[in-house]
Amino acid sequence: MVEGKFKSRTYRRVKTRIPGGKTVTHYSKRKLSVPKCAVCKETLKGIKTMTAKTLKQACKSEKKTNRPFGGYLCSTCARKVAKNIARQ
Amino acid sequence: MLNLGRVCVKTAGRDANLKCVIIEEIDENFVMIDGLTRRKRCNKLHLEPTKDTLDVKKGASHEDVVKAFKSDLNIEIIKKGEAKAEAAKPVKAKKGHDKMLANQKEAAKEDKTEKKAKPAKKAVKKEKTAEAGEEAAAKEAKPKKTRAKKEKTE
Repeated sequence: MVEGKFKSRTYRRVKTRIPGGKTVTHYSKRKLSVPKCAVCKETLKGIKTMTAKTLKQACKSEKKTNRPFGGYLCSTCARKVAKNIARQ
Repeated sequence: MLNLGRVCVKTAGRDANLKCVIIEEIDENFVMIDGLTRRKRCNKLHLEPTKDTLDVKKGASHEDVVKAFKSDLNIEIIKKGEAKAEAAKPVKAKKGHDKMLANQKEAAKEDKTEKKAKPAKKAVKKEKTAEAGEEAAAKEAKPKKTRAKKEKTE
């Protein structure tokens, strides 16, 4: 019988061929998604990847950087916003 | 462009998108700034100049910079603690709130007029109590029914 924890969809089912010739299902954990910039889609720095439950329990410094648009835009995209403000 | 007195906007760091003034030039690459940001050394590449300038001397103090911002650009520089206290004041408007305030004001006005008139009335009241004492003595002799009528008329 399958273990109870492997029935959830956070585990991926992988069919592998063992040296005896059989095909067997193995279970591997999926990788969590990474936070990205809203404009240029680069990975943001200084932010950890977490599940929704641990996000609620985490502190502010683990979820964002201490900068305007921190956790939403990367540093280069945020500098472009400041330039537009100055040029108005 | 990045000369003494030039107003700039800071692009990098935790105080980005804030305006500042150049006070002193330290190096080819570095400059001293003050204003809405902290008073610190800053790289020229992290500043974006605007078209405004201020009359500021070299190495000016923080108070002089605050005065210059207010006189030329109408920007007030407030300390953080004071800004929070001002922001906590606004009150939400509710239905019937204006009526309640108006009634409270009227009640307050009536209290004030009573308070002013009270010290003048005290002398008059003493005379009345002497008269009332005589009347009370006369009332006690009469039966109760007539007394109730008399109290209503008075």
